[in-house]
Amino acid sequence: MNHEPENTIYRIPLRDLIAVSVIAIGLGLLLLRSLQLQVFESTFLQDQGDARFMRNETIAANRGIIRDRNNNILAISTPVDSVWAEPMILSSSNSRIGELAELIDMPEEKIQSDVNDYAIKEKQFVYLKRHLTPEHAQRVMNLEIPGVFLQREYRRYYPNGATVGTLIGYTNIDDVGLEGLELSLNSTLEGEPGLKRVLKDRLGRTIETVQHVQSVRDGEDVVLSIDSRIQQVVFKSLLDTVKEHKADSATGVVINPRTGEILAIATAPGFNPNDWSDRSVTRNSAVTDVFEPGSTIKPFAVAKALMERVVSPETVIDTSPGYMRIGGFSVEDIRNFGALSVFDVVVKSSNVGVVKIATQIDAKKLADFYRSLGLSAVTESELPGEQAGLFPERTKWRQSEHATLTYGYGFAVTPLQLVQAYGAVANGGVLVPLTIKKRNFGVEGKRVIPESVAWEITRMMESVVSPKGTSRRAKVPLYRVAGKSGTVQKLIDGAYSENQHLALFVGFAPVSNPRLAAIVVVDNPKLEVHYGGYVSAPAFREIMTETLRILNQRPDDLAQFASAN
Amino acid sequence: MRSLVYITTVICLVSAIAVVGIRHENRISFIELQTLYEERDDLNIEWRRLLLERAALSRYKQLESWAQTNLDMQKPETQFVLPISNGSQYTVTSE
Repeated sequence: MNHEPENTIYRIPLRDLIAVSVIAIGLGLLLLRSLQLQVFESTFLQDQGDARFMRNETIAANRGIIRDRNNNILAISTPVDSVWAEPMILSSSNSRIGELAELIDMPEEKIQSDVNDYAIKEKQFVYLKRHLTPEHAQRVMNLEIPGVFLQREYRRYYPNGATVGTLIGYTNIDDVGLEGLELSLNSTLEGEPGLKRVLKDRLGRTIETVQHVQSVRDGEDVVLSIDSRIQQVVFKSLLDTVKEHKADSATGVVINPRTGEILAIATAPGFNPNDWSDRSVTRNSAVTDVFEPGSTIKPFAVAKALMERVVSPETVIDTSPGYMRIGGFSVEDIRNFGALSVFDVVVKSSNVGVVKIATQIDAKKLADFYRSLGLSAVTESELPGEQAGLFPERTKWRQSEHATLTYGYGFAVTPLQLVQAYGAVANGGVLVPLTIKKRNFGVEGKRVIPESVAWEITRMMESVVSPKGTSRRAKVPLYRVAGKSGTVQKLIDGAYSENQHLALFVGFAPVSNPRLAAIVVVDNPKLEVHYGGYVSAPAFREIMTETLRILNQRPDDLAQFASAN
Repeated sequence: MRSLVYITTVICLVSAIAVVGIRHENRISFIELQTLYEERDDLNIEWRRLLLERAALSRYKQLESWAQTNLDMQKPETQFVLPISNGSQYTVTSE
């Protein structure tokens, strides 16, 4: 160790100096750079990073369930997974498309060409296969093919299949209502999708959810007034009727006249809403199809005559010789009934008789009465696609128009309106507006017919289904039934068709305490006998028999008990 | 004056550590929430599938045919129906 001279100042070796300065400058630069990144460009860079790895993902909302009045399910959405790909990424691992194709049951070449097409167009998204069960989809994901992802979606199921098809309608592949109640109640059933921010890795797999941007709101459930048991009964008998009578279609409605609730509303042949390839007949004919009510209107024409006191049930009307001319038109009966009481005019369904009775009332009064029954006006049922029907506005009614009004021609109604009007009679003259939603509270009806008159025409209509009436085939064993048949010629291109008819039957039961009203409309039965009392009455009987049993109604036809035992 | 500086420094430090701690807790809770959401979704899926299954099994027509074939039940014909009299309202005439 040798000591430096005292005057020697301590000198830093040049090497050290250079090394230290290089380090210092390097550190300074790093500091500056980090200042630049962290402070001046941080927002921009953060955004860029987020754009690469943060994604906003929608959380699909559950579509509401449609239930019947007993909480049975009519429509429900269950989750399924759809497989999609980012074409640019997937096309770079072409070799694995074979495995994928096999698992999702698609031709490999199709996927190959789709992916390549989309990759060339620089698209970010292509569906490979939609609506797999979650388990199946998981197996696809287990392949761990880059660029293949799942999207949670919902598929709608209808456990009751075709029986509710025309009423409920269906949704599209994105679970948005397209027809029927699915369409008209879409805003209620549909929820609001949520939004979450997720962090993804390089392959696009979700690593974690960072933030809930907007929470998901599920759709609301809807409870209908429908009883799915009755609905099945109605659909089945309509289907049988269509087959048996080689008809084009048949429509039936069952209501509870007290509450105005529609218990069943069906059209056969329907379609199966579960089957996307089956979209044949989607109209709900009970509300979309209008027709002239024909003979089924006669009890109301007579009711108005009784209300105006122009006749009593016992007044005798001479219908000989079975036809008459009025205002240049001819009105005919099927045969010469001779002298009939007003009561029997309804029972035998005499056109001449009812014209003679009801033309004694002013045409305007009769027309206003029909309208007060809710005929040719949209009901409050909230069913989609409902038609009003047609009712001519007249300041002066011609004689012939006046006459046709009495036996149900010259205006048009829907099956729903007609059964609503019959419901009013069943209800002792009080019309309760119809609804398709379950009513949890009573609803105030409107008196349209005095109770005594409602009772009189109920007696007449009970005789219609008796052995001496036109519709004995509508009689339900052990129950008293009231109703009226009708057979109307179809109006085709403005002219009445000679060989195309509608066969109608409307009625209610049990007469001692009416709880049910029903209508059956059979469109164009092609067998020799096409009368409502022959074609539609048996379907009505079958529907009523089953429905009364399902609802545990007390039998009220004691006379039949006595004779049966 | 001096002590004020010390106190503020300490408070600052404590708050800084607390921020870290709370963030951590927040993260853990969020992950837990996520798991619960997933669990809820899974249960919801299961529930909906069970509802669907029940609906499919309990169709009226299906129950009816099941009762007819497996339990040998049938609808009584009219002549086999007897009203049970309550008071004098019904009279049963069969032996």
